[in-house]
Amino acid sequence: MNKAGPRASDDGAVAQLDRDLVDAARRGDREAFRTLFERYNRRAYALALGVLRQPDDALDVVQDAFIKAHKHLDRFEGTSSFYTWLYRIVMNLAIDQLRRRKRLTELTEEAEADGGGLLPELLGGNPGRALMDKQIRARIDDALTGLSDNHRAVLVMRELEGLSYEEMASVMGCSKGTIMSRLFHARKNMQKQLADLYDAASHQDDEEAVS
Amino acid sequence: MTKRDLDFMEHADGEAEAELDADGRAKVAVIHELGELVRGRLESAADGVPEARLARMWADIDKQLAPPAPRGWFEHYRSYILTAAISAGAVAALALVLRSAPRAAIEGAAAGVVHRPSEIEELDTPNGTGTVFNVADEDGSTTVIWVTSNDTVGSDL
Repeated sequence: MNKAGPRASDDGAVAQLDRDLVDAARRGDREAFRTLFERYNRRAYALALGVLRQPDDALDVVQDAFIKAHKHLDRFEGTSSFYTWLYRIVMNLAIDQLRRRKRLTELTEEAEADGGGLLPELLGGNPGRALMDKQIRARIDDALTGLSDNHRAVLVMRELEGLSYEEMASVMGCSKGTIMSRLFHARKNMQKQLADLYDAASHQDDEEAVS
Repeated sequence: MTKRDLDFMEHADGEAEAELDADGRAKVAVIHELGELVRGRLESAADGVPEARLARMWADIDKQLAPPAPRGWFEHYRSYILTAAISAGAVAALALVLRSAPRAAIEGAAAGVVHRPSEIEELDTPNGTGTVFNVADEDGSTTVIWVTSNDTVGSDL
């Protein structure tokens, strides 16, 4: 994400700068808070969009998250980065949104456990190139939308934010084992839904190898 | 879902180490590739949000962060008014205490005269007789001194 701010894992200098901005915002400096907004709004949006799949809902969640963050700046202790604190707010609001939609349905383990393991196939080994293709982007969108809310939330937290299983369990309020199960099946379902793209990529690779 | 696949997934996510054969390496690679696809797609979608839309969002946020509307004259001078009211009250209370103390002393003294039992030390009734007695009333009792002149005793009327 070129326009996005630094990732949560960035070094201490970024975290210190964020803390300084938070301190200034606490003292009523709105420009400082605006800087935080501009630094993290797209990243927060990517997270919300990944979970909710509706751009307008995702934008609403981002807006609410920043308002809530500002309101509770005194609760930010500075032990983690500002974004780590913000993404939790975004995730909580997104999950609340899903609950309001009454779409957060718990799948049974039997329903999740169908159909074998992960496929050892690659999409041409070049995801960046694949993403240049509008059709492939649309297919990824469809595949994400086709996941259950729980599966998608875990996959997005893992792939976008790099959260550990423990951290995801804490955010989702479930066990680490449940997180592993959801993540595994999310990945497997994504693979299944993109299977024809894998086949096409393999076919293209074969043709390139022959020519 | 096989145990081996879960091991590969934990390895790919950096949660645990696993011995990787050719199949394991391929599956770990596919997990990473899928992750890049998901991350890349969401990040490009986020990059696609127009700046104007985010500027509008900030304007909405900023409105909600704005301080309260300008205050009226009472709110503006409220602290001064409260201070003045408290000071005036304190002065009035002090004045009341200082005024009420002597009045109480006077009333107490008056009550003593009325209610203290009379002591007749000497009753001089030249050319007559005198009688002292107490009459009960709403204040307790009243001492009455009844004097009779001698000229009324045995007079020839």
